[in-house]
Amino acid sequence: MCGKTRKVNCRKIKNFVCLLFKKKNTKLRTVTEIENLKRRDGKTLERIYTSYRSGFLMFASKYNLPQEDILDVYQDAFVALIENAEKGKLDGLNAELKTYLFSIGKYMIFGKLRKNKTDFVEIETLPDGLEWSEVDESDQQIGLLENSLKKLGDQCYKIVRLFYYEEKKLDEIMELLPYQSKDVLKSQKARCLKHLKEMLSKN
Amino acid sequence: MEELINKYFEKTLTEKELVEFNEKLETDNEFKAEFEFQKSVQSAIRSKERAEIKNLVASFEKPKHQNGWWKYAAAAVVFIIGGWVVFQQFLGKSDTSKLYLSYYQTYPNVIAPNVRGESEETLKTKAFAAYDSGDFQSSAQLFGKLKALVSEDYATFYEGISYLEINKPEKTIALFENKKFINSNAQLEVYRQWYLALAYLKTNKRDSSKQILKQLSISDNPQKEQALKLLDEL
Repeated sequence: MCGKTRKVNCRKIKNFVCLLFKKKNTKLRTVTEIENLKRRDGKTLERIYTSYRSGFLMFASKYNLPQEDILDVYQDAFVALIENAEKGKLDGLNAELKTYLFSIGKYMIFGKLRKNKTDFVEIETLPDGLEWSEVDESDQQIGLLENSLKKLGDQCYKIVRLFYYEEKKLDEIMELLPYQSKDVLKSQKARCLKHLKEMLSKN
Repeated sequence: MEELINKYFEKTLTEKELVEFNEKLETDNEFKAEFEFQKSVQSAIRSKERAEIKNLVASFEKPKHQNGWWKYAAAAVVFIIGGWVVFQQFLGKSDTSKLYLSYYQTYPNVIAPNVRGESEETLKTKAFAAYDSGDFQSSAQLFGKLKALVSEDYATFYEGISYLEINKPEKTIALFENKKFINSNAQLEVYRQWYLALAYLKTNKRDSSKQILKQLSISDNPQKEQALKLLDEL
């Protein structure tokens, strides 16, 4: 059986890897869990979401933010955690997901407090290796582009998603998508961008 | 131009290329426009992907039973049907059992006084003696033996009644079913039907019981009234 301290983790992740390697194997456990995050596996996400929810709300309640905002921050922190997993930023990191989630959350709370300008707010940083760039929601062109992206073909969306969202290098995308050469991939990406531009100009 | 911008997004610009990149951004309007467009594309994809994840995450907040009301409805339907079946099986059964008890009466010995013949008489007397004394276990066996010797309808009839008395209605059914007491007086035939109906009732075969009772209720016979009454209660 899993040791007493491990038992909690086993219950948390409930995957076969844990059952197979019942002894300490944190790295293997985290790898599978991160793979599940990348796939946006609903069950995994919900389990993690619910298991840290009340803890986070309690942790965040010491800051001067309304309750709805705190829940919103928790959800945004969760989104950021998944985005970082999808970008491969969590690969090779060994801390508990909870640590990342709470750090991102704290970073976001401070960001909000600074916007509200209620008090003097110190600068909080993200954990090493993690990233989060705010999207300017008031930028109209971004909104229009978002709509155009929905009309983009599957293959085009795959390329731009891998390149701009997951921030994969062209060489890495070559390994993931069936393109014969880097030049073919590059020109395909250029065509997709051109298509987006055309859709944008029609608006 | 394309190469530099790709390398910017890949974060693989060398120092020399970074200088060139910044210079172009300052001086080349077309370059600047293309770069800003791709930055917007990046923001738009982020925004789209984040919205998708956030929708998924927000769905964890919704109470579960909101989309599960039909499960409760289905459970209720199953419960009601299950309850009805149980009612039919147990309570329904006890219902027919009650009816059986309130209608059943031991048929009196109307044969024994007319005894003739020695060997017959002994067995016959013994059988009716057992019957009259309430030892229906013995009477059932004795009437069974008698039946083989004399092939008289009354032997079969009292054997059947004895089995009803010792709570073996299925034996009575086996004896009375598909049989007609045509050699004796009409009364015995009427009571064969009546007791068969009761035996069916006892084994919870309502429909078979009803069928016989209907027959009894439409013809003129001593059990007509009783048959009608019992039918009404079924």
